[in-house]
Amino acid sequence: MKHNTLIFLLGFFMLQFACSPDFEPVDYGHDACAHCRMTIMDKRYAAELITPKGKAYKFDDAICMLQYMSANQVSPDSRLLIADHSDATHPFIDARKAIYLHNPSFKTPMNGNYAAFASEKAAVPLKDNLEQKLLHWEDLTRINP
Amino acid sequence: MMKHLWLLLWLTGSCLTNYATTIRVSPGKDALRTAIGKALPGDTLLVQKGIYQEHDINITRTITIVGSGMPVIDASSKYPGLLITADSVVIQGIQVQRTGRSSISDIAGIRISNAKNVVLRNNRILDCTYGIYLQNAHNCTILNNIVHTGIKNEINGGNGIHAWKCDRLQISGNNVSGHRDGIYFEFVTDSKIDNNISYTNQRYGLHFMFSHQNSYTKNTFRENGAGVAVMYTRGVTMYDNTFVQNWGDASYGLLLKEITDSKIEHNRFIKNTIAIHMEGTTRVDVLHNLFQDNGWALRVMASSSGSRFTENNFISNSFDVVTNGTLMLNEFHRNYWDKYDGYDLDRDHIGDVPHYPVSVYAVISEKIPAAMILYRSFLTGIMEQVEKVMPSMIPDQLKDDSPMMKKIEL
Repeated sequence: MKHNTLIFLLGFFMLQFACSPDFEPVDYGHDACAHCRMTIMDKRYAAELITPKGKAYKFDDAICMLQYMSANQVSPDSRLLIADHSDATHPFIDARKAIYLHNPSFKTPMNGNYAAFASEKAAVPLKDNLEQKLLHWEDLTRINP
Repeated sequence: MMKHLWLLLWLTGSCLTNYATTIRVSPGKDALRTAIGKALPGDTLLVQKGIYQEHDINITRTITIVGSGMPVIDASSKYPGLLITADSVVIQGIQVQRTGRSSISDIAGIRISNAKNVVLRNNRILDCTYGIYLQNAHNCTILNNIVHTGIKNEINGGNGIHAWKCDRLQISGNNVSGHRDGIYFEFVTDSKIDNNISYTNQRYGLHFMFSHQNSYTKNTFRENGAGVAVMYTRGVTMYDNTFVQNWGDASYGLLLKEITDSKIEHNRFIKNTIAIHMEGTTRVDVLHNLFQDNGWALRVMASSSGSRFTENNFISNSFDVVTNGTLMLNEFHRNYWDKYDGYDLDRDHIGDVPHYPVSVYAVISEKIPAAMILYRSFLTGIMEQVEKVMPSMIPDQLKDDSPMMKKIEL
């Protein structure tokens, strides 16, 4: 009897973990972008939106995420994540704190052509190369419809 | 008289200098580069069999390169292969292999840049990041080439035949496999893609982005992540293609997103997860197609309107039509549905009662994907029958008023 309670409690807590609003890794080559339906292939530009309830929406670039947010009712408390362009493993970072560069040479899947960087330091070498301005998340939301 | 003699001399002289010569090239250090550097416009290079360890070969004059016995240009997995920047260049019968890969620039086996009337014929392009890359190219012909890579790397993987800002291209008879997209069109207009085979590509067999007034006919798209994706495009004609075995989570035979005024005729969709997925499409005619053994034959999102589905055959698909709303602004006429169980008392080969192609279970699984577990259970059978008697969930505008009793000859 005691064991039964223990199993129940364990199961309950494990389910709790399963439901916490957590990052869901992108399965490149299989997951589709929630906005444009294209298969997400490019690790350098992928983005993810996690609602407070924990549902994850995956995108192939920042513009797709922005367009999805303007077309759908998205809670402002959602977590926004974006791939770090400068790091070779392209880990996901907070999209609202990231630094952005905009240039056609990025050739992102949907022609958004925004690349995200974890810090200004990481973005500066490319910025000078492309003669671009550093942008912040607010700039992106302003540019985009 | 003297004056005329001068003219004659000058004419013969200019004829001699302009006379196209044929130069034989044999393997050696920088043999190809030197030969191309020396060649005059109009010359033909006859490249002999062998391996040429060369790369970054720029072709800046109108010349013809003909390979004899499939000579190999090997870029040592580090560099780009050929770059063509002159008009009317012809390259045939050579093999370009092993270009480098980079995350900054797109490295290609053969790149055509700012040129027109270029012809690439009977070449083999193997294990290159991008196979054939056309930028600002006009009126070029890509004929009977084999473009294949065995390297699986989705970050740096490129497309087989990649066209960007081009017009009037002809892409025929190519065999493309193993790339990210088999054939990729971005800002390309008035082009024709026919008789190609595109298979086992990681993303799409053929992909259109912002490319208007193109047509693709008689192609085969097999075992790709998805067969063809047409996005943000107007005026695409799709005739006589075969879409087979495009299986997977986000897999489609044909994915249509934001497209208008297009035609889908005489195609065969066999064994795809979703044969056609339509989202935000306007005025698309779907005529005389075969949908067989697919998971979902048609997935028409409520954002689509003004499309007509006429005289198609729907045979042994798990679900024929599914939609995500109750409003349906598309028309279905005279299709053959193997699930139709109506009757034909007046013997005009058209069923007397309308057919509702959306099954109630398709609607449920669209809302709750996990409900698929109960597909083909006893409970679903009952639901299906009840829904037939008293429709409540399926969109009632979505019906075929004149379903065919017999398979349509396509």
